[in-house]
Amino acid sequence: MNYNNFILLGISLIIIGLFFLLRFFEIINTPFTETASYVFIFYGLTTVFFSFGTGYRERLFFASFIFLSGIMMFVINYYEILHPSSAIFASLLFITGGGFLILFIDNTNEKIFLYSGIFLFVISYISITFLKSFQIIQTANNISMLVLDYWPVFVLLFGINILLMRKR
Amino acid sequence: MDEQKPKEDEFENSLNNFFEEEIVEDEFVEEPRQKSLSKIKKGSLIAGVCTGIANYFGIEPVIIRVLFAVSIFLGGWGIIFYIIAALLLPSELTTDENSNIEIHENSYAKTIAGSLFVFIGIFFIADNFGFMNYLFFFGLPKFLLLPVTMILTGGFILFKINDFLPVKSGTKKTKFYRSRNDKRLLGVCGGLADYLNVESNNLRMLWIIFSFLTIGAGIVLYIFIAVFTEKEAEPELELQ
Repeated sequence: MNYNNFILLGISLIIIGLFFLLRFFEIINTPFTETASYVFIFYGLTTVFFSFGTGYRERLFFASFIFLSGIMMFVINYYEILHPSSAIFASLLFITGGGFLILFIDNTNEKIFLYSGIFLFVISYISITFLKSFQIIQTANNISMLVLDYWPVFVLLFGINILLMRKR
Repeated sequence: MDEQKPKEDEFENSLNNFFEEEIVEDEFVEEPRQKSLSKIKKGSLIAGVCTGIANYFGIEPVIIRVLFAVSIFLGGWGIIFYIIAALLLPSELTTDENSNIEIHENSYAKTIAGSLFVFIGIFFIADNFGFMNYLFFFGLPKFLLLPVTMILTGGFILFKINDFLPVKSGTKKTKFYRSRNDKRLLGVCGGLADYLNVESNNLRMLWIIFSFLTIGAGIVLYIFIAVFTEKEAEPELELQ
């Protein structure tokens, strides 16, 4: 991580902390997903901007993933979508495709990332238009919803993994 | 002359033996220093209490840090203990030879990030699954735990930013190949992990989860990438 990334991380944590604090004292009344979406968008966008051309490609990929996840959370929260769970499968494919597209923009010699991104975008589009009534898509959405319900467990495992894998 | 020579040799040998013994004895004069409980600044995150305790017991500092973090959930008295220990314990400014802790500056950021994720995970597991009543925080509302921790961590990162700095250099790799050495199937994950400069097993695990969630789309993508990506060139052998 470079200097800017650490500043961004610090500022993002302070912003999300202040949001929670203001929400706790009922000064603002935004739901948790909306608060998280603002922070995801802010952190993802700025990190992508600062990571271009620096060689930190893993950060570029995951920051674009975070940014698009923030957009998805914001859209689901802001608009009255009847069945938001039915968009999870398509969103996951779209967000991953966005990550591959960013990798291509970072290094345009690697056409495979462009093709992978387009491939995922196409599947995402097909799944939400032509195949949306298919049972398999609904099953995928149900599985994803189940996983999302247990997201703190994954965050916990991710944290433990970072602690165990770090270089001492 | 010939008779005198063995005598001289004998004398020389005995002198050498005498001095060698002296030297060997000198090595045992210095007694090993006894470990004392103290704060260790090097490798510390805040005041060096956890590093000092870990060094004293010969264990990893992260274990002590996690115990302190858990204590925050159980009344927060660990914080009071930490402050008292930070005030009372003497400082040991350098990690000397008897310290068995090897500290790299690279681990700071990961320790902070990992601890924060563990904290958020525990907090929301407790919140979502109804264990919130088992958490305590100095008698204050428990929901203050999360915002206070986040603000403090953010402030801490900004305050100690120079300690975090040289963490990891970005990768200079310009070409994405399927890996020849680090592969389980076709080397896509190994190659991508090398290109992105991440741990290959973590990437594999993420790919498996992605494939599971997308009902096999990840497998199709894997094959797609494997078909259109070259394999890493074989290393050239040096001919003698």
